[in-house]
Amino acid sequence: MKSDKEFLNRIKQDLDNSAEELDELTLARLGAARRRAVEAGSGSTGFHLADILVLGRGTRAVLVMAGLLLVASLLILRSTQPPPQDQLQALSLIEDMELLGAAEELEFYQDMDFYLWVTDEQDSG
Amino acid sequence: MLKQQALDTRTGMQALAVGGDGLDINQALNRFLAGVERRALRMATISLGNQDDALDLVQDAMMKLATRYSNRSEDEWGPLFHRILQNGITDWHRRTWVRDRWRRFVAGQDSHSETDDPLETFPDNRQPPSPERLQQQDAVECLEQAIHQLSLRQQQAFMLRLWEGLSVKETAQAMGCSQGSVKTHYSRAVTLLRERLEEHWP
Repeated sequence: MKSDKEFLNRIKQDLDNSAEELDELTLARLGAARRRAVEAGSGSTGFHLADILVLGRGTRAVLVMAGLLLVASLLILRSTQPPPQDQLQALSLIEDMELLGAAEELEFYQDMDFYLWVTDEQDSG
Repeated sequence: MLKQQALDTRTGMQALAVGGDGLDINQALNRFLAGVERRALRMATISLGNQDDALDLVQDAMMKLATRYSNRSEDEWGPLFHRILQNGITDWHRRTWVRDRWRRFVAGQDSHSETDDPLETFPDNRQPPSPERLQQQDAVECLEQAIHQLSLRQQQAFMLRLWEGLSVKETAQAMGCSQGSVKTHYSRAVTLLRERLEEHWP
C-alpha cells in the first residue's frame, strides 16, 4: 500500500466523514447533553466545593467520621501527653495553690526560688 | 508529516476551545464540547460497538468535565475530557466482560434466544443505497472493525494521537500511562491496521 502518511490520512478522512454523517437524532441528543453539562457547570461554584458536592452520601459520611476521629485522637493525645511547657504551667499552678493555702511567712515564699535551687543542687550532687 | 497533521487537528480544536479574553467560560466550554462531541461519540461507539452506551459515556464525560474541571485552564480541557471518557470506556469493557462471563455461566450452552428472534426475519423496506455509497460504507465499516479489533490501549493511543491530534504527552495524560507506552501502542496499532486493511484498501 501507500506510505504511512497517505494511509493515516485516509483513515483520518474516513473517520472525519463518519463523524460528519451522524444522524439528526444523535446530534440532537449530543447537543442536549452538552447544554445540560454547561448548565450544570455554571451552577458549580468551584473545583473543591464541586468535588465535595458530587460525593455520595456514604462517602461524605465516611469523611465526616474520619474528621471527627482525627480531632478526637488529637484531643486524647494532647490530654495524655501534654507538652513540657504545659506541664510546667500545671506544676506552677499547683505550687500557687499550695502557697495560697499555706500559712507561712511571706518572706519564705519570696525566697522560694532559692530554696528550690538548693534542693535541685542537693538532688543532683 | 504525522506530527504536522496532529498539530493541525490540535490547532483546530484549540481554536474551538479558546474563544478570546471576553468570552464567558460557559460559552468557551460549550464551544469546546461542541468541537469534540462528534469525534468523542464515534470514538466511543467504535470501541464499544454500541452507540447508545457510547452516548451515555460521552454525556457523563461532558458532565464531569463541566462540574469538576471547568475552572481549569482551557488547554487542559482536551486531555481531561478524554481521560474521563477513556476511563469510562475502560470501565464499560470491564463491566461487560464480567457480565458476559456470568451470563455465559448462567445460560450454559443454550443459544435458542439468538435464533428465535422474530426481528431476524422482518423485511427491510428501506431504499437500497447507491453503489458508491455502499462502497464508502463498506470501507468505513472495515476500518471501524479493524480499529475495534485492536486492544483497548492500542485503540486509545491511535484515536487520541491520530484523530484527536493530542500530543504524546497529552495522550499519556489521557490514558494514564507513560509516554513510552503511548508510542509503543500507537506504533503497534498502525502496523496492525496496515496488515488488516491491506486487502480492503488497495
